[in-house]
Amino acid sequence: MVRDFQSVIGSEARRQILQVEGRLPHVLVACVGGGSNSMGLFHPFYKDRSVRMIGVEPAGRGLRSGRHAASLARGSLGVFHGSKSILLQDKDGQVLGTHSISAGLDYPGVGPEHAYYKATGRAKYVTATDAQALDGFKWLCRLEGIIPALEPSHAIAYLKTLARSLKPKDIVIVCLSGRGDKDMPILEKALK
Amino acid sequence: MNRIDQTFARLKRSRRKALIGYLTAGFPTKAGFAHLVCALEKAGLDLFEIGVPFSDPVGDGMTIQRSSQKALANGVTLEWVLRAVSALRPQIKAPIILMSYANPLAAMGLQRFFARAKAAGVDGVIIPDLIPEEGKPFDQLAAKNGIALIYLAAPTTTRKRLKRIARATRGFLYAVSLTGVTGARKTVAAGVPGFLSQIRRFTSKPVAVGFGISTPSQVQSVRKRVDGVIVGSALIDQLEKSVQRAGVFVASLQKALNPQGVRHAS
Repeated sequence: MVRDFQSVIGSEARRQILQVEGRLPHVLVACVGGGSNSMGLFHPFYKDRSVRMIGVEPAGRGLRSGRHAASLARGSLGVFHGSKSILLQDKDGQVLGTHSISAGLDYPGVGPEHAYYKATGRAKYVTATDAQALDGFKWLCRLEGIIPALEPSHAIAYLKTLARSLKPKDIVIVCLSGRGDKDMPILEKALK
Repeated sequence: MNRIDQTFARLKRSRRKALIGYLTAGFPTKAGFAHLVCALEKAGLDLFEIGVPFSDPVGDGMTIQRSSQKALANGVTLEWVLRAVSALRPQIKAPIILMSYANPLAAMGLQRFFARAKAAGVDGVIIPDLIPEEGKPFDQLAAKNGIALIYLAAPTTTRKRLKRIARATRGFLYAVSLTGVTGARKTVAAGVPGFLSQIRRFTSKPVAVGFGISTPSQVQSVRKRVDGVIVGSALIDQLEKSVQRAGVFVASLQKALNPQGVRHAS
């Protein structure tokens, strides 16, 4: 249901990129907490096999620190909030506490469709730490004058890595799922 | 015949209703839990619903969230609960029903869980976040091990699903009295009588009502429409004060539920 409502993102992106560029994008990049905005972007491109999809999970203070919310990177199969999917849990099936600098990604589970995309290889999932997200945030502010929320700042952060494998004419769509005004108190502390 | 079926049949013969009490396993303490269960059976509980604490109890209100957190902090695991039930089984006559969210069971492995539950003497299992559409593997393993898998129906359950739930449930049908989470309420929701008679049209299995039932007068107001009443949060509230208070409370509910008096514990 969430996917269906959010898919307005991907449907519009697909129509607009075809209008403007006359071709499909090479890569889609979006942040993944519970996975709503990313699945909204990805799903309408599901059948476009040439389009690569990359979900960026929050690695918080690092995957090894245990202070993160990267469910697909570090989780296992379980039942949580009404779905069978991948989640961060201990050996007794208790759901683990999470951390991310962005409140919107701070969630121990992930929508089951992402678990499916990962299992089938349709999408690739990577992570970005709090520090990398802050870098991504600053980068977009300076280059484009756009203040992204800390959630999509994770997706932007991954662009630095991704760009090395792209050609200049390749098209990348990044989902800017929210604006950063709401994050100013956090940013003020973090960037001091 | 499962101990739950036997209990409802025996109570029915003496025209009594079942008082089902929910306790969070290992709450308030692990060491005192067995004693607590024995004391509350004496005080008037006919069946026990023992909650396996879970980090994210989505069906529960503040009281049971708190008792679950405390139990987890006490180090209660599913493993511990099964051992506790195993030790309790010879000490009480009442059926023991485990209440657990699906994930701790899945983490242990369903096959292993049901086999171990049987060995421990568990009579029934309630999984509040299991829907009948996904229930098949649970149903089969429960049946194989002689354990009743009890399903819940809510006032918002459609007739079609109610039919399915009535067919799937074993032991009794758990009627959720309200749309919301567990927790004491001042009154019984207005639609409850209609909801309970609707359920009766779909099943001849025993029906027990729970969620929000917290006072003797509420018990009185629903007793004629059901075979049993489930009290959870209100009992935990009393337990937070003392075991003795909980015992007095259970006795007052038993009296309201079966005003004709005289209860034989076996």
